[in-house]
Amino acid sequence: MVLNKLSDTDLIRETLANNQAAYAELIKRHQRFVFTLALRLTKTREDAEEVAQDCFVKAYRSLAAFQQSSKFSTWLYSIVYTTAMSFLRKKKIDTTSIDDEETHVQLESRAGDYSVPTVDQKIRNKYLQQAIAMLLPDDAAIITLFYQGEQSLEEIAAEMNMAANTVKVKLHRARHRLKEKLELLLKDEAKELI
Amino acid sequence: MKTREEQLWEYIDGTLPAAEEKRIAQLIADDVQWEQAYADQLGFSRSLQDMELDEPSMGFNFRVMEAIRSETVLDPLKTRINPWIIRGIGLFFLVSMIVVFGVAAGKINWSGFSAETSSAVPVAKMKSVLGDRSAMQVAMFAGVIMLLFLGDRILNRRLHEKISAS
Repeated sequence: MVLNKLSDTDLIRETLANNQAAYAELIKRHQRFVFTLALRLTKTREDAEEVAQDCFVKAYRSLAAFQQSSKFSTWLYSIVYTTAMSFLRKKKIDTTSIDDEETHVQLESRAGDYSVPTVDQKIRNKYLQQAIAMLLPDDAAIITLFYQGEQSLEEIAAEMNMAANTVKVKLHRARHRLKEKLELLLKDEAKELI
Repeated sequence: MKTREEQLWEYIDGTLPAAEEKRIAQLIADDVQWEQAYADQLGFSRSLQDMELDEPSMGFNFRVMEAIRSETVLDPLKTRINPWIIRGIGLFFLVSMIVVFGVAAGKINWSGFSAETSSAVPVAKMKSVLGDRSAMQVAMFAGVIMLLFLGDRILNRRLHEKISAS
């Protein structure tokens, strides 16, 4: 059986029939996005790997209870969001806004470290990732889910346990804050990027 | 009142009603400032869409599967045993007890209780009843039925595993 040609639903059915290779394929399919989302929320690679691993184990345990009324990805991302938020609460990471004087100084000095003459795709990615990393976890999660996860506002609402309208407002604000962070990082070059 | 930026984001996200969408499209076509702002926001949106996803470390998939395998081995009661088997065993004991005590109660000569013996349990009589062969045969028969039922379930599961593995 060629597992990589099966749909998520078929892989779930196979996994429930005790075929662990099918679940390995599901992990392979979703691990990059799950890891990216976890990274945006937890901010460090080590924590993101821990959260991502925990999510896949939790999902495996609850797979039989997964109601296939929504997409597997929507269900999985909701696990990522709740797991990462619990992780942050447990670690007591300071999730307050970084809009304080001290951080501004720090960011400005960091921005000065990069002397980039041209803004090509890779560098653009790098700056965008830095700017997203400066956002609050919720803002970073919404941006990631909307643009990289290609989730609709309704799906994000289900994943983050919010109303769709709240997500819409939060998305507007998150984009606005992201632009501010980019301007802070790039100064004049920001115009080319945003 | 929504700002131009908000209206353009809604237009780009495709969350506007048809009439409103048409109005914004017209503004973009007619007004240079709207056109410029639209191009900027669209570019920003595309930059976000084109961002690469991060990659976990090489052995990530393997580690997750190992965690799942070790959990499956360490936690068999939660993940592997069908709750119906537990319920079946419970039911078997319940039925056995009811049968044994029912038969026992049926065989006791209740009229034999007299004033001088009523304060004590008729132990000798109970023993003779519980030791009765027919009551034991009923209990054993129920046990055999349960064993056959469990055996059938185990064989069915193995067959299913073989089919899915092939």
